Amino acid sequence: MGSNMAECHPVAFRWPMKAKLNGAKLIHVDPRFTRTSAVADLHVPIRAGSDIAFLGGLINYVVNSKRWNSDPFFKEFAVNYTNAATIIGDDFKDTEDLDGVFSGIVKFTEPAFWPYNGLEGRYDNASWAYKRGPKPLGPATKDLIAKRAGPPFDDLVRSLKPGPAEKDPTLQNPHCVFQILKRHFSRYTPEMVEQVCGSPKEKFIRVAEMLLENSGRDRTSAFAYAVAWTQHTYGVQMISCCALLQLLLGNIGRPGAGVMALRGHAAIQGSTDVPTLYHSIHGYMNAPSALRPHETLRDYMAAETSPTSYYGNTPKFLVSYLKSMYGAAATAENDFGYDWHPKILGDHSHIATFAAMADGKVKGMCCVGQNPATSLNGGATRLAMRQLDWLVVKDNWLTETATHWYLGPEVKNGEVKIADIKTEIFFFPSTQIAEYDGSFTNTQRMLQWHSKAADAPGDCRTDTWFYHNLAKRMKKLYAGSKLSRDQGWNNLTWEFDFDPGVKPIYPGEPDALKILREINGYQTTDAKQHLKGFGELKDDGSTTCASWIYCGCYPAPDQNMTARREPDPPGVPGAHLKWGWAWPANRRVMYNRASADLKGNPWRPS
Amino acid sequence: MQVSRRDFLRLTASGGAGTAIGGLVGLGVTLAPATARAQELRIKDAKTTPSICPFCSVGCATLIHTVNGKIVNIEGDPRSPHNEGTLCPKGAAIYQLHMNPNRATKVLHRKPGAGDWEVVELEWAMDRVAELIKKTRDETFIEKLPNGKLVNMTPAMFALGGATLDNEFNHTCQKFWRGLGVVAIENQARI
Repeated sequence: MGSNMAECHPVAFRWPMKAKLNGAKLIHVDPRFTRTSAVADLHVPIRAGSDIAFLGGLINYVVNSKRWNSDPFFKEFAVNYTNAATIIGDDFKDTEDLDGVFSGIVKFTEPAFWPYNGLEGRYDNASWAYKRGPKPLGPATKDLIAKRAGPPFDDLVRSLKPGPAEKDPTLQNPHCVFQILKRHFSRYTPEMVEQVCGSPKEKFIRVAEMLLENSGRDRTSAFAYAVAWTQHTYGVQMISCCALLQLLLGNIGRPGAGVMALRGHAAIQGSTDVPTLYHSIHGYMNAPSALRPHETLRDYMAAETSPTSYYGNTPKFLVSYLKSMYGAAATAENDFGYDWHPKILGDHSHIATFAAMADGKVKGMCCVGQNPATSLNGGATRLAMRQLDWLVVKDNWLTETATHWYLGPEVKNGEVKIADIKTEIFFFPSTQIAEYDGSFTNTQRMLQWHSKAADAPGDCRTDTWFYHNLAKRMKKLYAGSKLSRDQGWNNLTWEFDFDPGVKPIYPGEPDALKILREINGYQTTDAKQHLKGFGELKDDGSTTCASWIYCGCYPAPDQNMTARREPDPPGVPGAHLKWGWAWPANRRVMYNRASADLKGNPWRPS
Repeated sequence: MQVSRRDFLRLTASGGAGTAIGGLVGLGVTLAPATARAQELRIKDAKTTPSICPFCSVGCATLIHTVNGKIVNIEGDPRSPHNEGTLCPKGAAIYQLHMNPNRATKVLHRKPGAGDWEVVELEWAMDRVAELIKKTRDETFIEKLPNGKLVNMTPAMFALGGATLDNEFNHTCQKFWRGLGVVAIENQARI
């Protein structure tokens, strides 16, 4: 759903085609009849954007079906590997009770210091919490914060632990997650799906039956989606809805199952993991924010640590990240430099930032390998860019973003005069893939290294070269400043030069392996002692690691796991564990505990 | 031969990677002997370097063939569990990204209000960009909000990146800007 895989990910599409030869069923739910539809067993037309109604219909059909209610596998999976049996507190109110919204909707108030948060609708989800037994005894979180307790921050994490959640393994309690879900989706009948989605009822029912037939102890089904889901404002809800369906069908954490994002670009997963995104810092930790209780290091830890999951180790991830930022200057006494780290004011995403730019609140922009002048309301984007004091474009070609000031439609049709555009503009040419070293993370979360094969022409430089050499210049410009606002920058570590005696691949080029080492992590006292996995991380500053999820990709100076190219031998239905490296911990299937029953035996005996 | 639109879609999708050649193959044309001979000649005496396709997120492995440091051929890595040596039409054209007369190779600068680019020195342009970043940062930096919250940031600069750039780029980009207090760091991954 939401993808034309045959044309957009053609090489990956060979695998569903091969599976089809082995008897797999291929369903394509899409408004258009494309090359993917042409080879599918079933093409189901759908009204663009109505995917939640379709998926909700499948959920309703599945939980009321004979197969789901008679094969014990489904309930065994749901009770043990999902929160279906957990009881929700009595204060929760569903959309049926509250005229279309859940309990806890928050009235939006715009913060005066950053009036671009209008899209941030929000629920206070306190009323959605599990019904719990008494909290374990111990010091209160607020007292530990006030006392500046830790490191180690174990007491702080322990103080966050809630009491045990109440459960009903029979799934009968009307307040259990399963019953709430069943009631919520009961209105999603095949007739309603037909009316909302425009998908013929018979075809919809065939999809539901095919999914049920091909899910269970012996078989799995997978969903693949792409930007036709994510580019909706409610894309997250579509994907969550699909995950809900897959959990009910026992299709999560098992080989050949899951909800698969067919991401668009070579390193788009990498730029989400290694976040060039405003809202998160490395490894999916939330960016410190002025809108959240993030005032101090301990406030942040108390607000962001999820004490009942592996995220209970958030203090270790965060302190190791701060060490990667501020090095020796980050100490237990100064909270590892937490105060130097910037806090966001709210929404600084692509659209909000261009809106602020149009208002004259953004003065400068560095655009590397991206061409916003032609995407997402190009007219508004170009109008915003004309308000800039300066603009840097670094790319392989003179893109529309680089040339908007003389080739933009508004300039060509005379609406805007070139002389009135006061922006100082730079264009820097870039290298191509075969001209430098580095790693990409593909849609399977797999890091793969590529090596330099040839020199780039002229002034073409790598994109890391650009920031490496800018950083060196900024270091010089701020050297010796005693202003408090400059201390974070002056304490930022920036040690990516090649070792003395090693010739860089371009003059001034940084060592890509040193950057990968900082992402992977090392023992703070000795950068040659790489971390072998996130289990080694500490919250006392003794480990330095930018990205806890990438920890282990470069476990020793002579072991760049991302550069491995050793496939499994032919004839083995292998996981190719020696080809590249996938986060976390080279796991190729996430949540894979669910691939076996409670005793640890695979669901399907081989 | 009569081929309807739907038949053509069926043939092209099943006959390889959705290409016109795939369509020809589907219709019974074989190109194998000619392509095998051409491949052999092109990579004779070439050095092979492992690389990755820079287009979509499948992560097809490639092999770059160079002779005396010059790229002569790029093809799929037959060892790869993802692509087993194949590439789609875009991937098969990676060579043209590199060996291309339209490639930009010079640093350009446009003065405020000017009608034309000027070719400038790389080092001069880097110095000038650094100067502008410092100026904007110093003029717009916010240490504390009116409500007293410490934020140490500036919302007045925007770093936008594409999603065909390395993890190592992303790390240096976000570290550079967050180090300076810039928070508006975004990427194609958002949209």
